[in-house]
Amino acid sequence: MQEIKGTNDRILEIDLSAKKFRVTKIGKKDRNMYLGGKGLALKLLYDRMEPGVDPLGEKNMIAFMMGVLMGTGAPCSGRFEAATKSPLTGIMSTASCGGPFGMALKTSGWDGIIISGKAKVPVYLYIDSKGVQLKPAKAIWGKDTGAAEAVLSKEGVGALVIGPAGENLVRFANIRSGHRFLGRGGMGAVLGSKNIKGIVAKGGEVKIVPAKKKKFDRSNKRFFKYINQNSITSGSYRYYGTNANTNLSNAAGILPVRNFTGGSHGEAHKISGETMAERFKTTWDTCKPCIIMCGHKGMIEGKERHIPEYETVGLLGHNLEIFDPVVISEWNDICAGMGMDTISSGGTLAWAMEATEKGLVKTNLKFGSTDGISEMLRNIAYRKGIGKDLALGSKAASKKYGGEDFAMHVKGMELPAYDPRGCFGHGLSYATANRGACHLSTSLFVLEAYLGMADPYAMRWKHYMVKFMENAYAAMNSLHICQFTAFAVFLEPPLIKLTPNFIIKILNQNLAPLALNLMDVSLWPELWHATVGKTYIPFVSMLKFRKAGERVHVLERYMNTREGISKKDDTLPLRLLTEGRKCDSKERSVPLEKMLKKYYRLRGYDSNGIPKKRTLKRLGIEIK
Amino acid sequence: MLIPDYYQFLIHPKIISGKCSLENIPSELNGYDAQKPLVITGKNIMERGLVKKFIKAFYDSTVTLGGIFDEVRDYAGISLARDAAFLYKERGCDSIIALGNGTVVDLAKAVNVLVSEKIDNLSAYHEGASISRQLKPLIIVPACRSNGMEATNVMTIDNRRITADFLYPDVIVIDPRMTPGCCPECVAESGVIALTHAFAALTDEAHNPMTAAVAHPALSYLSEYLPKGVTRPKNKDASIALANASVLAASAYSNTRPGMADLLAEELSIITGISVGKYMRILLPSLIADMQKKKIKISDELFLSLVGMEAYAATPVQERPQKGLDAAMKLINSLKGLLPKSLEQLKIQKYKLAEVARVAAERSAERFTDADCRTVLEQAWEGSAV
Amino acid sequence: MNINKYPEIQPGKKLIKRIYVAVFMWFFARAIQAAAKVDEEVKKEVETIPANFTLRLIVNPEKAFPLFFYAKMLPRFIVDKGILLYGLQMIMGKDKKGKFRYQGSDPRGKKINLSMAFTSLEAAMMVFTFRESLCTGYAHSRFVVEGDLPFAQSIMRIMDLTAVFLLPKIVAKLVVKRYPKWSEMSPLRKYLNRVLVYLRMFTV
Repeated sequence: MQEIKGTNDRILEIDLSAKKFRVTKIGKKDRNMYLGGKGLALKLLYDRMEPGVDPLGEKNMIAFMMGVLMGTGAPCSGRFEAATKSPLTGIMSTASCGGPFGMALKTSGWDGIIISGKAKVPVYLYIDSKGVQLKPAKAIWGKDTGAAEAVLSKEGVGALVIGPAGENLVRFANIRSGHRFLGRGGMGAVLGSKNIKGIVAKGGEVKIVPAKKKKFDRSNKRFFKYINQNSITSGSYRYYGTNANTNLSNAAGILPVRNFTGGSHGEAHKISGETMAERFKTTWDTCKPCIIMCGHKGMIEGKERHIPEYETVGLLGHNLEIFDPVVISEWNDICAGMGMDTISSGGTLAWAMEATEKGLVKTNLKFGSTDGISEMLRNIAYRKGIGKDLALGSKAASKKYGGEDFAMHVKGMELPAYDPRGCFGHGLSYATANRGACHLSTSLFVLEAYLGMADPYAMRWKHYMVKFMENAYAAMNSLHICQFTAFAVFLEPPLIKLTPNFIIKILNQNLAPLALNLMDVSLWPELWHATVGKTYIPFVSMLKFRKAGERVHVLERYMNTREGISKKDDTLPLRLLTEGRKCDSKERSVPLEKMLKKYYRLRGYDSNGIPKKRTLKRLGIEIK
Repeated sequence: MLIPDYYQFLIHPKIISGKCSLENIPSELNGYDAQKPLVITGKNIMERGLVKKFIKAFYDSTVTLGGIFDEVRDYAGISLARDAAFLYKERGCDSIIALGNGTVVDLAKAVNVLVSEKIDNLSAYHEGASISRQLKPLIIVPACRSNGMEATNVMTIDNRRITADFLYPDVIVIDPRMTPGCCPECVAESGVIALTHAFAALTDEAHNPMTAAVAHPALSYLSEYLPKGVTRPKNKDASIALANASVLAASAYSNTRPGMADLLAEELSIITGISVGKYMRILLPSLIADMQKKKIKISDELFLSLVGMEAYAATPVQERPQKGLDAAMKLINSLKGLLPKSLEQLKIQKYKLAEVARVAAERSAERFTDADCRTVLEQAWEGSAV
Repeated sequence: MNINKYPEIQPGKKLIKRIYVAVFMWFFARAIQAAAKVDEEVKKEVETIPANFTLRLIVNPEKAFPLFFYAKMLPRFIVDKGILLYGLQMIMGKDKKGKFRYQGSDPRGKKINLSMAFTSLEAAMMVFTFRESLCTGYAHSRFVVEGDLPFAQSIMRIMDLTAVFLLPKIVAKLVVKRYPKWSEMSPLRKYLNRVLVYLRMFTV
């Protein structure tokens, strides 16, 4: 078997309209500046795509990009990134997934693929080390994701498939690979619009080894140690999955209830990770390779099912005032089968429920009632009845039917299950996240609400924290490595581990630049350098790595501003900005405006939120 | 002068304009046998300190303000209307005052429907039922940015329009303490909207002597005061004139059918969330250029109202309509670089234009075709007419 | 929804303006009364007014300016004389002897023939601080006239003339519709009457 040291930098570019493909090499400069994964995907699309194209048109492109760590055996590195112009938001969107497709593609000898054009008839792509073949997908077109994947998986190690939702251009349709999904931003609809039912990669053709094996192993060992030490990565997430967040959120008052009108609920424990683990006797079912192992499956009503993640439980559970884990996992399965994002589905359903209550639309949905939800999810996937409009997402639906004030979305993307009225910094990051309301652009709620390392209601330095975390997470997504490793990397180095939380809280609140810069994130750049074979210079390389993260974030922002994004879009749903909650002793709403101004200044954006030329120049982004 | 074959005209609100007109509100309310109005206003108006001045106008009267509901922002929705209606009922109010423009007025109208009809949502009206009863007294005090629909019989709630003659406000109070604009852009936008509405009222086939009579002073005010108001937004004379123009244009507009520029701007605004005025500034020149190209016949009233009697008399009859279009173009271009000049500059994604054109053509009841709309939009995208 | 966030607002009071208007009305009424005695032209106008005619000048809404509660506690003759200022009202009438007199500010028990009501205190201030003349004020609906309208014109003329006597030219010009020329009113008559009016105002 061919062995590749470091990276082979080969990209497969497929033009469906012309039925042609070509192989391009990634330049050294691009690799160093954009690392891989998310950064590289965005950069390649930035070079190739014009602004203003129709996300569901021929000219839109979708890129699937692997990171350099994929296949090297680094912990939790079995993830890959996809980037495209999202039909849900109309701006760039990236998504990350831990399914088997990533490894299959990488071991077929490709670092990524870029698909453009549109096939005339439904097809699926078969990729091996030689190139790509378009095969007719008539037999699997219309099938749900599970069935389609079962067919495609026979041809290779890993596959990507879309479900009926993607075929019917549901704007929040996702792409499935194994039990994991490229969830957000409607990637499935983009594939659907290109008439692609799935992509299968043969895999197992090449072997990846890090260029500097010794250094890699040393860092890797430290990484393993940290992950196994950390109480979240080796404790709650490992045993209860991400749904361990339910109880934490409930206690911290950031649990969305009834379309974000409440912040905690007495019955939330019924659907918490702990309860589900006990009730359904869960076992692991995770990305590969992984040592955190947050994914779980269990016997639910006599059937083996995937345990819903926290976001699914949040948006299909307590946000709809439903506290029955069985029905939630049933809907989780429907969404998975249809290929729909559970967060956006849940958010849209919550909007529909409130709109029904307020007489804007006519449905049989009601908060707290499980009636009609399964049917509505299917109607959305097949775009029947009112599902036709709901399939466009809560933003488009609220533009048509009204109720924009309670459509919980940012830039068109529905809010995940963390209420920013209990963690202001996270609110700022929702507003500024590039792809819309994204909990993965900073995950500040962990510091603010879960660990008590920052005052959730303070505004001071939150802009700095957001910027720091955004850069770090963008860099991490370019590696590409699981974001949960951040718990270990941020919290386990001795300096931070030995300092009591309240001191960190005081430092974060008063001297955030100092406190955050003392955080040792050297593990990630060490791994990257060891893999690609560059010399790691302590501190300098780490700074460069963080700058690369900044570059990726600002590039995405710049691409979005070319699509018309500006300050007016960096906002939160009106409800979060104006309404208080009864669960708080003092009613609070997110004071976004003040934080946003400082954030723009810090980022080097102008007052309208557009990156200044100076900033782009400093980061080496070519201005178009 | 030709007598139209058929026409209808209704203009309801009583207009009180000028110095100390706010102090007339208590006596106007007394006329409606109302003692306790609910004031609906916007956050920005509260922040600018206009509400304090407003409250002072009620000193030494018997009118108790039932509450100042200042939650309105850029969106008028049923949730907010329900909150305000709840406040109205709790406080036992008997009338409504809307202090502000655009969404504030829309919300006030919606609250009025909710409390007068004793219902808690507007679904019946969304489905086509009509408002068939006299509502509670509604007084409007315009302040700052107008969306041109205040004095009309239309309310836009939750992005959906409800039209009924009972939705006309009862009194409009234009007071120089309230009208000065907050910034040149805001004055320019309000002016452009009024211009577009008056233009639509005059160029529509359904225009009649009454709409012309009402649109005429509106256009005269605009041609004289818009350039001045834009350079000096705080100028009281200009702001009063523009506020009057806005109300008059709206009155004329509510008696005709919406023009192409209005429909397109509204659709674009709903999709992108950018204010209608900005779009009208771009679309109106494109529409005028298109009309000039097609040599569409319009009334010469436009020319008369924009340039005055002298220039009108000095121009041959057959040239007047075309010159009218020229004058309108000149007026709108006097705004120079204050507002964006093309849809491209506003960074509107081009693929969205087709959908906008389709919906606008649908709403126009076949007065213009999809292709017509698209021509205007394409031109507006490039901004070639500006 | 927390309705306490939006408190009810009771109308406040503009005390200084109230006192100004009350004092002004008192002076003005006394001046008219004096002018009716002194000046021929005014006398003529007054003669056209029928007997038992009562005029009321009031600032609306009446309820906002209630009669001061202590008015009842004071001796009747003080109230009748109109020395005490209470309520923003001024009542003038022709008594049985045909004299045009100020009758205080208590409307109770009186039959009002003509009522001139300012729509608000601010409207009254506009007129009484000479920013608008009586005539413009009427055109701008600053006050509403109810009752025998033809006599309103007589009253307006009386008021105008009184203003001429009472105020220096520079101010009076703002108040009256047309300031009388020399030929219409000799300076001698004007200044003499001015002195007499002022004397009578404070003495009788």
